[in-house]
Amino acid sequence: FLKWGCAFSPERRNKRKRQRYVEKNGRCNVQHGNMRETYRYLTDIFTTLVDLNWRCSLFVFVMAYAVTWLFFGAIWYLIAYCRGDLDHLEDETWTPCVDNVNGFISAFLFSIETETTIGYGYRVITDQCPVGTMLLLLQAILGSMVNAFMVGCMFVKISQPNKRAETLVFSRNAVISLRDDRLCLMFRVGDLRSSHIVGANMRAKLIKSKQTQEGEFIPLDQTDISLGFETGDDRLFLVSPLVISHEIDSRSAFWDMSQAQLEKEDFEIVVILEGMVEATGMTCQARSSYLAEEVLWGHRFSPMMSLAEGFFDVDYGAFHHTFEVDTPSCSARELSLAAARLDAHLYWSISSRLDEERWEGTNAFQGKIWGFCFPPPPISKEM
Amino acid sequence: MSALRRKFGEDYQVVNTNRGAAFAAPVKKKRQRFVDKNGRCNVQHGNLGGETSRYISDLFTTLVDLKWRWNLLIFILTYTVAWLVMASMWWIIAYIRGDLNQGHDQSYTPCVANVYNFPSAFLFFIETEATIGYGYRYITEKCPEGIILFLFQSLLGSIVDAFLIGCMFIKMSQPKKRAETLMFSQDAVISQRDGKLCLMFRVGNLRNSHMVSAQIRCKLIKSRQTPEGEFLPLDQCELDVGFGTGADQLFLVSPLTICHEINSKSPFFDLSQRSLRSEQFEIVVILEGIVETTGMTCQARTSYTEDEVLWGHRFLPVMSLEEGFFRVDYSQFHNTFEVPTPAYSVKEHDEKASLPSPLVTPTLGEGRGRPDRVFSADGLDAADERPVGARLPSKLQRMSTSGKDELQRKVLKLSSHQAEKASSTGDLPLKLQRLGSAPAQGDAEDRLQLRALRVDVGPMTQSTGDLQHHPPPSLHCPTPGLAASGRPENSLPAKLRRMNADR
Repeated sequence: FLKWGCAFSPERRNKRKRQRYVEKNGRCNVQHGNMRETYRYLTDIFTTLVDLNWRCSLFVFVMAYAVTWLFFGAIWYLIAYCRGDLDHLEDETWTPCVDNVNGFISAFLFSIETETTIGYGYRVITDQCPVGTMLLLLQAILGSMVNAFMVGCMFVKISQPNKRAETLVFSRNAVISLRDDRLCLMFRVGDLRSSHIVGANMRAKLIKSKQTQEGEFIPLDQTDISLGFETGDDRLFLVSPLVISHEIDSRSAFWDMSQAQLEKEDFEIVVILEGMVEATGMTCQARSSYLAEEVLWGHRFSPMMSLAEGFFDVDYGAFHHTFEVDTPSCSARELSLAAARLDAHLYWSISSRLDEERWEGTNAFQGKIWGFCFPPPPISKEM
Repeated sequence: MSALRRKFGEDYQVVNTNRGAAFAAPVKKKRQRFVDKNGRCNVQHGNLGGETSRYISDLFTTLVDLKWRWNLLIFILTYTVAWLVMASMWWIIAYIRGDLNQGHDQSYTPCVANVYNFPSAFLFFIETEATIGYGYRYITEKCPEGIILFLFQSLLGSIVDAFLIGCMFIKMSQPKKRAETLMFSQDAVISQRDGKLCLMFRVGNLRNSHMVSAQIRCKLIKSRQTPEGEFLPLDQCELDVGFGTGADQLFLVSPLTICHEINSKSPFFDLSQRSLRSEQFEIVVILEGIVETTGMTCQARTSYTEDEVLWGHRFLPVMSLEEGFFRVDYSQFHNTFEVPTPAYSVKEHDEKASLPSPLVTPTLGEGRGRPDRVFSADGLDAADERPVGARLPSKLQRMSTSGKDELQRKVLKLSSHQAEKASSTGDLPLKLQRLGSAPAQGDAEDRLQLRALRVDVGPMTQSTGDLQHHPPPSLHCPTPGLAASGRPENSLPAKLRRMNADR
């Protein structure tokens, strides 16, 4: 098996560079183009704002405040102008709308003081100005609304649960080796923090383009890889790094894949870990992907946990390490057939007769058994 | 295009019913949708009686559920009318105390300095409530009733402020707005995939941020009457889009085609192209997931009525590979194109497959019979719970399960030379399968079928030529699973075996 591995590695290097669907860090290489219905992004303005990167977010934040201040400042100035306050600056008997507003700058300052509710007191609104009272009311209401919105956006942006995914790590390679006489595809996942991921569950999808019988070409078709959905094994208790294993059985997409075929195959496995951040209760999602060349046949993950004084010690230096083990290089299907044949010999002494025939099906096998009046052996492996 | 024509045709009929049945399609009355295309549900709750107090008890949800215009109106009303009422209380205090007549008397200490008429009282109130506090108008300590009102106003102001700001924020950050950037295709299509008839629709995510734990569900809304005579209006029934296997949990980054396989467990088991025109149902699709940024769950809905389900169409591809990323072209998102699809239902197919005669008769001229074979052979794989002996012998079963992959690969190699000529590729696998799927009923039929094989078109013979000259498989090859159990001397099964064992 080791010889086979060496023989095939030069071919592996010659494979053309394949475009990944999902990067190793979880970012997806998909761009949305030619979108005609852009009104949708505006209707969902909140998510649009929160999704922006930090530079744009801060720019929008600053702009929102600056624009409202300037707008109201201009209106206060306009009121002062229309009333004639600016012509009566030195007049003691004249009651202006707002005391001590004598130009655009002071109108702007008054607008800021009002909207941010500082209210120093040097510039005060008088009671001789009903228009001013209305404007004050309007500015107070609008100010609190804009404030609420901006502060909310900032808060949501800061506490985004998807940042938690930064401290969830996946192994660099996936491996295929034997576990309990079955071939399993495995990868490792770990949580770098001491706080837990509540309700963690693991999913995997196989991304492989296919063509149906009718000629329909489905690019990047997604099929589910079972990580224990029926038994509940996909629900993790993630405190120390876990090795997630997908048992390659007859329903798996890798049933017919041998080591030689793995070299030539072209697929991508996307792994998704979802769970709630313990502190905030918000669900986060961590993703990674493995290309066909990142799946190592016949390797096993190095152990990381050791028992120290009063606790278990995890060594993250060994997180990505694998070592080679003896693994048959045939596919899982061939392995199950070979194992069944091996089982048969335990119940049979006429093995020579069997070697001549082609083993082609359960019924053929059972037919022979009944023909020789022996009880059929328990068929544990599928044919 | 045909769907559009059909839709206009129906509308035309609705308007000109007195013209009579001038069109081939049956006259359908304009029907009321349960769910709109944008997900809004056409249900109004009436005659609640004494239950309206519940809405007041849950005031927060009631406020958040209101439309934006009502929310803003309540906001503004609270801040103006309530303020006017409260301000008048300050004015009443000033009036009772007799501050109003004092004006600018320096020696007199009013309750609130510089408040001597209603406008100034109102201004004082705003300044206090909005915590601006300019300082020109301020409360003095000579006024116990004023102090009490002042305390009350501060507390109430904070509470009302918090409530309204909270409502505003929740209303702005509603996760249901995320549903605006989740798109569903305009139509659903029915066509074949791997020999199985499937109902498909497309779903897309317009943003780069993900939907965590995205899950898709499908409900069929169709009124029916039970055998006991109970009429169930708008009865909801579940459509399986992968619930059992976990395939309904989506990884939604680029547009996905969701596929509902029509088999014996599906409510569309006896739906054919003809019956589609006369039926009346609605498929409601629900996509639920958590908004990545806020961690709140959102739900996007849409529905497909029977005139929005296109028989024999397929979605145009939207993904293309660019330099360093995949590009999605949303202008093609809703577009479909026609493909040849058999017009009858899956039930009729299965019934035809169970009859022995169609398998024996030569099907040279029969265009209809061919898709039959593809269905029957594949239908066996899907329904393992069916009794083995019911349709075809077990040999056939095993042959189709294992040999199908090799056959498919050969088909793919052949079909890749021809562009999407679905009709020809549909024929090819069928001919190969027909040979493989015929039970060894007698040499006459076998010879007939072999003759039929030789008559076939060029690429066909090329492929079968490849198959026939292949040596028997070695021990370590995955075996085709064809059992020549009882009859090793029969030449045809051996030949078939060799054909199917080709890699």
